[in-house]
Amino acid sequence: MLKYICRRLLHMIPVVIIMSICIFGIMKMAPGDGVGYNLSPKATPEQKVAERKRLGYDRPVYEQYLRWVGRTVQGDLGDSSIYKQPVSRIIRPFIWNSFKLNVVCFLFSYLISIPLGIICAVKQYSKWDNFWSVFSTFGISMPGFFFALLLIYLFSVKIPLFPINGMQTPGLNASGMTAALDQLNHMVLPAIVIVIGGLAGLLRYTRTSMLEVIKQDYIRTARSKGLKEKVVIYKHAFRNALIPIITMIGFEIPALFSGFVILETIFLWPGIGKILMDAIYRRDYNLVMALNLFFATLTLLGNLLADIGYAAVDPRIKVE
Amino acid sequence: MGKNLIEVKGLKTYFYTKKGVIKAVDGVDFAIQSGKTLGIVGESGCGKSITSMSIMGLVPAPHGKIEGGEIFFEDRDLLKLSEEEMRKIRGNDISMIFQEPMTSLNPVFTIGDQITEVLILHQKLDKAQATKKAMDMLTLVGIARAEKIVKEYPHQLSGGMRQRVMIAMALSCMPKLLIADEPTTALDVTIQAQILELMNGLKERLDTAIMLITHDLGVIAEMADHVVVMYAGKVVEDASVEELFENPKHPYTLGLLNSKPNMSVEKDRLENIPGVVPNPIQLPEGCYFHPRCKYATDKCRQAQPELKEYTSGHKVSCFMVHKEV
Repeated sequence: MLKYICRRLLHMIPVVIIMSICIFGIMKMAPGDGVGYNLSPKATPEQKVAERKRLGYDRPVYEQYLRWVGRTVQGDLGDSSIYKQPVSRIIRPFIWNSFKLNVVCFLFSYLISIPLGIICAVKQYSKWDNFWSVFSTFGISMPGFFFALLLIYLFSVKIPLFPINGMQTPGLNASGMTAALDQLNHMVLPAIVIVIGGLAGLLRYTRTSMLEVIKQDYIRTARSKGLKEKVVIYKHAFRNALIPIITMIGFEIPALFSGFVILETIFLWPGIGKILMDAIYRRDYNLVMALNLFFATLTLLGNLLADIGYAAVDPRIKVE
Repeated sequence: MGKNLIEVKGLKTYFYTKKGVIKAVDGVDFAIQSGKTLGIVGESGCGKSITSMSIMGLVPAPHGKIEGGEIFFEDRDLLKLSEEEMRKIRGNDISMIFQEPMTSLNPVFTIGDQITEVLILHQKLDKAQATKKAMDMLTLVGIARAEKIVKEYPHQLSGGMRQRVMIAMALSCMPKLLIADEPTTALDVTIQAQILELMNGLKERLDTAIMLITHDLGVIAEMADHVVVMYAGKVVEDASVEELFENPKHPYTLGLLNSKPNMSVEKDRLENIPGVVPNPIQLPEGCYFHPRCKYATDKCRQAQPELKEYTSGHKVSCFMVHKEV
């Protein structure tokens, strides 16, 4: 098992290299560069050329790429051209903010949708099942930005239950529990939007997977043993239905660290989504590359986790 | 005659579908004595399996429903028991093995887990005792290396091995009745013989009654003490195994026997029963078998014959037979 994981980790290296070449190439092919942001608007063309030369943008693309790789391997992600600060220092708090919101949403989506999906499958075509089918369609079709505004209007403006936006109450000089609760309070509305949006897919997925399993002969065997229906469903059936769900959880891992551009903008949540968008628009090469490298690695790790999880729940699959 | 272990009287199990009501089991009577084997024969869709599911109380809801009849098991009507009481009987007093050994075991649990589960549930054994008992059962069904097999998963075993595991699991609580629904149909012929022999041997040792469902008359001849022939949800003939093979009365039974290859008589072609099993939603008027029966008369087209005693212990439902008497 350990050998398998090491081998898979080694396999990731060429993939990450190829991906970084692609991303770097695409960024460089896009017109313009970030030089303008370093200079005053009145800068002369000569000054621009000099600045470009200083940043090394006049060198061939492969040379720029290799230089970037050389730095990155040594742990230096370079400076952001927008923020004039080391990239590593900038992205850390923003990714952390996105992560906090995502973890809450992730936990709630799975905790709600998996049990609901199971019950819907067990009571297929019942009123309960039909209700959640309609609810799922609603959740998928409702645009997030609209739903977000609706919630803000209803629960922040009309009935002031939750803060309109932001991540903490301005001027609140608290720490520990108070600060955490304050942040949680700010999380409620964006989390509702994200959870309801993501619930539908997951619920239907669990339901389909369970329906498939419940029909199997070994479920009939389990019942014929005299087991309680609960044991039949939650032990014998769910363990089998879990196999495709595990894969999905693996793929979700990178999403934990990425941001929701539109929702973060509406709720003024200082997450990574908006930072990445700005960095792309303004050709902040170092920032974009650092984030992309981070997400690429996470995606590969997520796949590896999915494969390991797969082997853990399904004895028919051997990872070796 | 000994006492009946189980007695099914007028059992009716219907399925309600959008197209209409399917009378899968429509007034079936039979009885099994302790330690005896009853064979139930019939074509696919004649209600054999639904009869067994009715006894187990596992008719798939909400479409299927037991609409009438009584199932007396040790003087208790199973149909009147609560789900809770029924669960105590299932897997303990009555257990079942199925046609498909390849898919009847749960792929994500070890063989040991699956066998010990019943023992812990019904016999209140602890994990260690149950594992020991599971290994004993596996040895009993002729599996060598039982201590290794308990740690293996179903996909690591062959079809014949899995059916042995199913039998070990079904018999682990020493049930009084074992329902075997086509236990050998999915297996190779050589393995079939082994499994049948195993079941026969265990029946003697454990004094278990067997309800053997099959469409294979060869299996019946080898295993059964008594035979019930079913057609379209009804019993058409009920006799001891010797009587049925020597003196078959119902035209359907005759047809089944004639469609079986016989080594002693030279024939170019096997006979078959013309036509197909009737659509269960639109059963024909009169005797359900008349469209396929070469002896059918007007009476058969109008009225349904009753299952009546022909000679002692031999019941037939056919007008032709009872006219003779």
